[in-house]
Amino acid sequence: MTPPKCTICKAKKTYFPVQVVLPSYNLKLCREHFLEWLEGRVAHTIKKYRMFTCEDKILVAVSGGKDSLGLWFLLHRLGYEADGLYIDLGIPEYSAESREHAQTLANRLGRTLHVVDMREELAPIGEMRNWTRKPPCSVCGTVKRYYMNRIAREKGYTVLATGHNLDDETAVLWNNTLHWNMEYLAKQYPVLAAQGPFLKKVKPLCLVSEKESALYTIFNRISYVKPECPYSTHASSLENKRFLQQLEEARPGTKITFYTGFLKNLSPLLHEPLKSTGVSLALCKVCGEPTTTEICFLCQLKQKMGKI
Amino acid sequence: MEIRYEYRGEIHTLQQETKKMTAGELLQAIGLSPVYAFVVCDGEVVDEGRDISSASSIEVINAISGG
Repeated sequence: MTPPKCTICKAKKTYFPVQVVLPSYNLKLCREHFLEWLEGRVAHTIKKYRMFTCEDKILVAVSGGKDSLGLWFLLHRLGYEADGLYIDLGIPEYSAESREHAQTLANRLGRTLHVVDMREELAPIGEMRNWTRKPPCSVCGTVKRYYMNRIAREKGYTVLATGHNLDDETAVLWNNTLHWNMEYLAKQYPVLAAQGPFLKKVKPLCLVSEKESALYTIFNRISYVKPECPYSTHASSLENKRFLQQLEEARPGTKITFYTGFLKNLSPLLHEPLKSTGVSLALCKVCGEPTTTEICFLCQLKQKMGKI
Repeated sequence: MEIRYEYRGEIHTLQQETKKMTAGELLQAIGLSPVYAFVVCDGEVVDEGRDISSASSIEVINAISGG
């Protein structure tokens, strides 16, 4: 049997072995053309959604996983000024390994990695869980959002970039559609505009699938944390992702059609500033960070734990 | 045929009655789909149709992660 030829190589009359098959786009690509294709796709996403320009100072929230590290590398490749922020949640073994991968990439890129250590700030996430009814992923998300915004603002960055990919976005969209959570649907967009003390937030990988993101990271020899976070095993987002993968397998292109269709057709009807959703923003009476309550979640947690 | 592979940081072994196996068959044998998973053989990402050898260093990547 003749091995398949790279779609782009074939057109250019060159030949390299196919390493990536993308049924959603009817493409079979060699390593070089896959990297070219993905970088072009992300560059187009950044421009299309007006995420940032070369004038911006970007802070990439890195977890040590494939998506955020791949994004940091990719932005650097595209010529943007981007530093990293790692929030060490104090998860035994897992956090130490993740932090090491983030630092390794920072050294390779010659960029700054800011680190917030939750053991010094408040407590490891495992201990925080005991003081709240929220599920661990929810506590983790709240803590991360708090520090990402605060550190980015304090250090003078203009944009905060996260490694959310197409699978993350479609899983959230699917969940919010199932529950008709209009407030969350209204806020789901590749760009969250700066608002008061909130910095502009962007998701440059929103049109890149989880597999494409993993391939990009591996092709570029970026080491990342392989085991799953021990607290995420029962996360509902994983169930939603698995379900969407089944649909994708039966009908390639389902995820990208679902997400881009939402952005094109429904989002403009819902996309309004936060104030119109009935949520009023205030500043925490204790730390001064933005919050929807009198005292922010983190300060409430600190009070419960007797840390303030 | 015995295939040793790394998956999410751990080493696993798969016993197969056949003498040959492709990357796609390995994914199938361990219950993963090529929609979200792929095989890295001796440091190189391989196409699903590629034969894999028990002598190779094999890593299976499941791209789904979350929380």
